[in-house]
Amino acid sequence: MEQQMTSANLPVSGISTDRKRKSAFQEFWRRFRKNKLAVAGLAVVVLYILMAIFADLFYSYDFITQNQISNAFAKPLTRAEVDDGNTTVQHLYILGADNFGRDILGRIIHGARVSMVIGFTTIAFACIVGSALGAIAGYYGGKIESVIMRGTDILLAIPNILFALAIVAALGPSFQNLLLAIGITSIPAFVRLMRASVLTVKNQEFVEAARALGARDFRIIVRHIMPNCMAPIIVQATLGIAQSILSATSLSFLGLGIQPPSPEWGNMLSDARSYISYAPHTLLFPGLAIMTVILAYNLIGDGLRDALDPKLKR
Amino acid sequence: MIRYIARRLLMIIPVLIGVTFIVFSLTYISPGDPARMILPQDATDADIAHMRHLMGLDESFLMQYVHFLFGFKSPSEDSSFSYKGLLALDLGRSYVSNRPVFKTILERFPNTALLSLFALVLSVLLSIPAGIISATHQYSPSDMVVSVLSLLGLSMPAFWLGMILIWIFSVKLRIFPSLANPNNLKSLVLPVITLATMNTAVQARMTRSSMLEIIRQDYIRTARAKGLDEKKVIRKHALNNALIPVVTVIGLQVGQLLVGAVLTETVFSYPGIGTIMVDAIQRKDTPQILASVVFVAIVFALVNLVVDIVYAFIDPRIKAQYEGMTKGK
Repeated sequence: MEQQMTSANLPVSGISTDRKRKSAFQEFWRRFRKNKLAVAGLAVVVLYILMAIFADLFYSYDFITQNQISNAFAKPLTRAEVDDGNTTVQHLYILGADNFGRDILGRIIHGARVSMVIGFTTIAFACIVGSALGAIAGYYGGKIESVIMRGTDILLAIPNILFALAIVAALGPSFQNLLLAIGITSIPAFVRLMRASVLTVKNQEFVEAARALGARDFRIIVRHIMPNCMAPIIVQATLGIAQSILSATSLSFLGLGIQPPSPEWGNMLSDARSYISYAPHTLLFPGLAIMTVILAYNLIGDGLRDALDPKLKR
Repeated sequence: MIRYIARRLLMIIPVLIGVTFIVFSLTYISPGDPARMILPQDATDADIAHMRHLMGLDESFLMQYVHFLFGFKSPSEDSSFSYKGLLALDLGRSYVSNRPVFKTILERFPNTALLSLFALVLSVLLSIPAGIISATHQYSPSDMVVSVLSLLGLSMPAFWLGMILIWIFSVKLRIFPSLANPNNLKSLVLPVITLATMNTAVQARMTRSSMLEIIRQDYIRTARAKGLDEKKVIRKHALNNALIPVVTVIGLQVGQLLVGAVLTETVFSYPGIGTIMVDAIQRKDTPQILASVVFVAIVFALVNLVVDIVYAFIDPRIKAQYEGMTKGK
């Protein structure tokens, strides 16, 4: 619509839609900002993302995967000599060392990279595939809809982690299979949400107007229907990332996800399990890392829901 | 009502077929040849081909799926390659222990069911009152406590919580043992708390938001306006309606309990179906993995079926839909 207007030389309406869009975002941001917890969650997530991007600036990957057996289980804030290839240097273990003498803080920071990548890629995949399927099901209805929705029911009938577990067990534990497993199990929620919203939008007048103007189905779905269905999808995506990170760490904890010596929070905890009584700090910090990031995403999700859904306004 | 139940029973059939088909397909595409796994290292290609024939692995995908459901009669003398199929709860023997896979599952499943049941009861007893108090006293200190605790519970990985509990209560305070088994009730305390935490958090949040929505409805205002005292309004008018979505969530949570049990059981080395699964996966014991996953998925589907039927008794709208016979679809 907007494009057609500009092409018809109506710059005034072009500008006004532009301003309207901006203010919609500002309105959303104004409401989101009011929720202090959600803003705190956003700050934590940004911090983790920065940590993930710049992990190598803090600790080199070689260093955090290399064993320093003599420093095994170093307590937090101890200083010890580490073998840096050919020389020995003094190193401060801020959060202590694990059973191989590897720096726990360094492994948590590099682990953030793994978790963030898993969270974003799996949910991006599930969101795109799920929304597309949901939109098709909702828009066309009929046979296509029943096929898609029955498929979704079946996927939903297998509990999330169990299904991921079965996929990883069948295909073998590896990073790609973990992504695939979690990605697939995250699809159904998006299909259902998108279909439900499309059903409420598709008979509204602006859709009929677009159809009357001769827009093709694809254009109607992508340009006119989907933008009006994004609110629940955005909320689900945020909560989905939390769920996805949790599933990934759980599978890694069971030895079915990221394999050692790669730093990943779940497999750090799996190592720590054998030393609970001896070195509780190896257990405490990776778990706190998982908890804060999941909590942050949950807070953002709650905040988004309140900000995007005028019905639930407090 | 009967129509609703019948419809719901019929709906479970395609779901079960779909679930078994997916799980079977996963094993089918899984790399690693089971025939090669049973045979010694130095087996020749001819030996392997022969073994594949004896195990029915040389047949088409669909035939193998039919075998999976209805049983397979091996041409071999050795009856251990034959099985009666999923419908007869017989999917052959474990590669590791050589016991019938379902025997192990049926032996251990009651342990998982016991753990899940305790966790379910605990979570319901804690979450519903907590959610109600939280909603009826919105923004009070008790609401804040419930909200914060449920957010934390929602964000804590269960396996980590389990290990932290072990560290505090087994290592430091020496109150509860760190290994759990079904014959020692005291040893079940920590795993039950571990397993119940996530559910309690989810259900408390659900009860709170559902209750908040209901107490703003007009009919609640009417009830208050006619002078009913607040307790009666909440108990008689709000609660029944607020609990409907909560029952659904609890139903879905039962499935999550079964899955959460996999992690909890691993942490506490508890002999349930979760530890069977994890052991089987680590040892690449395909029949055992397949059977356990299918079994849990079926139990999950059946639990949801029961929940849906219970739901119909609680929610008068469903009853009305089917008894009014006015529904177009």
